[in-house]
Amino acid sequence: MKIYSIAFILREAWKGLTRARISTFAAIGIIAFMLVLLGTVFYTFNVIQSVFTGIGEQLEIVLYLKDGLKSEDREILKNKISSMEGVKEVIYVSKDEAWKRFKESFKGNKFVLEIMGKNPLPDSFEIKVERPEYIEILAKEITALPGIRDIDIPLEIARRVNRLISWIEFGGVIIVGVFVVVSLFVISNVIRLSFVSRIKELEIMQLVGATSFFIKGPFILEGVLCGFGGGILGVIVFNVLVFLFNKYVLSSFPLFSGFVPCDTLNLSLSLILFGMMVGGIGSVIFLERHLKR
Amino acid sequence: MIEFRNVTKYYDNGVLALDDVSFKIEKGEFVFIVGATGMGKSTLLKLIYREELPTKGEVIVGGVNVARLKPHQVALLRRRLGVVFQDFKLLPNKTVYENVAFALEVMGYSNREIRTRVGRVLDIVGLLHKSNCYPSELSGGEQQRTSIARALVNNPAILIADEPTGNLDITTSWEIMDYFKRINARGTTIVMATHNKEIVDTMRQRVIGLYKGRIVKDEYKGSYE
Repeated sequence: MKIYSIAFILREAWKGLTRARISTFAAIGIIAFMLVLLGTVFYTFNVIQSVFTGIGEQLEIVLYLKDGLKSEDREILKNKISSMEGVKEVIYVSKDEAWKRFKESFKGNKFVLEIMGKNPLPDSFEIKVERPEYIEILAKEITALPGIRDIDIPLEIARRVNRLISWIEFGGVIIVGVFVVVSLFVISNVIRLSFVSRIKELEIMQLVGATSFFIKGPFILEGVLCGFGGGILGVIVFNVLVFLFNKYVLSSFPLFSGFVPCDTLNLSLSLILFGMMVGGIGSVIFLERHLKR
Repeated sequence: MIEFRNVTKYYDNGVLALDDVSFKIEKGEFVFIVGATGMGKSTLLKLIYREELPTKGEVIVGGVNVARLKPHQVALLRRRLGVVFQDFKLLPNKTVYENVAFALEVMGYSNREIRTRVGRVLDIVGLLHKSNCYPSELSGGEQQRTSIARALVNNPAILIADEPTGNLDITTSWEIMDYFKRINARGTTIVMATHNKEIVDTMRQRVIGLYKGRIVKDEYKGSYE
């Protein structure tokens, strides 16, 4: 009994999909389109966000050390800073190294070099952070450490970058949210409308004494399969677009140089699941609306 | 088999379809429900197969009050009823065979059982040779016979027919009535709504007359007037 029931549902769902080919293709196409749109919006925000995070990552705290600090103390200090939360990397720049860099950047400017005379620069640490929002917290902790002559913190820029990133994140959540709702609406309606010609089928199924499992099963399965088809198609198109974007756009703008193309696997799987889920929801809405009692 | 106890039915739009209707139909009876359009015939039938619920009163089918049935039990009730309509209600994209088999498929019968039963019932209505035709390729009478086959395929105790001859010419109508007579002779209770005077008068069966939602007559071996 059970096997025949499941076979019936599979067969009916398959018949439904293959019988009205044009409307099935139309539904799958629209679902795919919505999912590509959704994926693109999501991905775009991802790119924008990581570009700005990349800019933030280039910010660094420069720490000037007191003259005559022993190398053991320097090592201790370096380890202390490295172990702080949010610190990505601590680079030691000796005064000789600093002087070399200085001379390099003022090469050809005799005047400046003459004024400076002997190397006046101190030893220093260049501290890179994991995310720009750590700069402010770290600045306080680091300033309190011993053996420090001076500290250079790009506080104002860090604040601005942080503010920008949180606006982008906020805007991203809102816009992606809107797109999720819109595609939910569009996809569930596409599925619902593709079933409208089959209201009579519901009526007859009920008349001959089909239980709701038998009536709903094929429709829900069909909606989910349609969503799956749309999901697969959409994800293929989406990944092709991402590939082209990464290859042609990303590489030709230095602005994006800090951007590592993010993995689209999770996003792709989510899009397919979303398509299947919303396809099922569309079927359920149809059934709720047209199935009496 | 079927009992109405002081049944009143108002539709949501306030229309009074049935007004304090009571009657009893025994097993094996053949009953015509007569009356002009809009007098409550279809509503009466819909209450039997629980398409509608009574506003007041009770409808008892096979010993149970249909208003108390849970959705799952409604499905089981309908398997014991066969319903035939004026507009046949066949699925246009299924063949004659598939339309009849459909009723058994939704009940979870095995394929072999379905084949045997559908074959038998199509033989009864004389449509075995048209098994693979689609409804659009059939005459009105053949379509109605298909829907009768579908109604009978699960051996229902009761056959409900709402104007089954309404779309058919008189010769074909008689053909359908012939099948009904034979089905009734095998013990199936038949309740048929019609406004076909000639059929009612010739068949000489029980006649329940409705006028503005009330029973105005209930006669055995009755006539239309």
